[in-house]
Amino acid sequence: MSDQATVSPNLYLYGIISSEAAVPQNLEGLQGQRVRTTSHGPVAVVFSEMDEVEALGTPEDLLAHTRVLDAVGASEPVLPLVFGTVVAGGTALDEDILQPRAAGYAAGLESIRGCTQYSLVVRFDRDVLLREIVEENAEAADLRGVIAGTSEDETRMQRMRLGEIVVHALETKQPAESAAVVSRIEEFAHEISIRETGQPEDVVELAALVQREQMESFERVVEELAEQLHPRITFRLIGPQAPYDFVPEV
Amino acid sequence: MSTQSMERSRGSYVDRPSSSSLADVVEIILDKGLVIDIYVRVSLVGIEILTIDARIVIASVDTYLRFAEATNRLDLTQQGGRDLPELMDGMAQGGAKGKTQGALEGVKEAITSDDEDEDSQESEKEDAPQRRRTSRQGSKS
Repeated sequence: MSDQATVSPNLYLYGIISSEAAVPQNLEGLQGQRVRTTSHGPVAVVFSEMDEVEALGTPEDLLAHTRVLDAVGASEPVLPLVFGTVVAGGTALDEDILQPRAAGYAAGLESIRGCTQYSLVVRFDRDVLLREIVEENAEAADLRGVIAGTSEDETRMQRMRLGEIVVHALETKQPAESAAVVSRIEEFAHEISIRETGQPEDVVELAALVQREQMESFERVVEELAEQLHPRITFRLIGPQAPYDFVPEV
Repeated sequence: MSTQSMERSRGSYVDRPSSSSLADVVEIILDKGLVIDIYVRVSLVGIEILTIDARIVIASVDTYLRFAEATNRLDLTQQGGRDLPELMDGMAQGGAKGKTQGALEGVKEAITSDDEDEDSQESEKEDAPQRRRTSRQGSKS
């Protein structure tokens, strides 16, 4: 890019940590680069060098971004920066990036201190629910008989109606199940953020900010819920991870 | 859909991936995080496509047809999903309610089919998505 870029490569930025925080040694970042930190006052930025900015955005890059942040976040509070944050080589990370907002970053880190994030994806088991709906709904059962052995073109209208019944039934069942899960999870979470979902099988997707000393209880309650609601509802738990959903306004 | 087997093999009802999959990562981190003033944001074409795909509107024709087809194929999946005593229980209960004839027929078929039929049913299961794609293309014209 600029003349400076030829002497110093661009820098990929992962997140903001406390200047006392330690980053795991030999942590590998995007494009296999070593992850480093630079601090200014109470805060530090986690970064690695980046040679080919043009190639940024591959699945490997996304996974590396998360891997670094989750590894750092496993033991220290970290404020993730949005994926794809690259600054030109030669930028003074301390003066240009950290100094203008050092107080805000420090306050943001304080708000998530001692916490980690989990993502929880709760879905209806499609086939179990389909059976349930066909058993509950005579019209669905009839339509299922009508479309049996036919092609999609032959019974398009009946299929549309059957699909509509099924999707509507799932939408009707979803709120109560979601509320039950959320209220149980809430007891063990410092904060909860419900994510938008779009599929009929979705019961609820949420991010939970959990105190580190509550992690065990939180994981246990998820396990209990999953056992209790099996086989109708499936649980997928991701984390502990960096608090992507709880980044405060800085 | 295949999550059940994973849960079982780990002795837990919760599916806990040891490392984040790309789909998880896209859902979780995309557009989240602090934005700093001076930065170069590189365009992320492939990722945007993935996200759009993950957020298909619920009440679409395709969704209805997909669920209808899944319902249509229920009797096949039932064989792998439940063992026979469970199926019989379901039958007895369903019969008592007397409003589930379509489902009952499906259950009966599932129970009465021999082992020899299983191979042909398996291949039918595998063929089904292809058939669906073909017919969908056909219906566009």
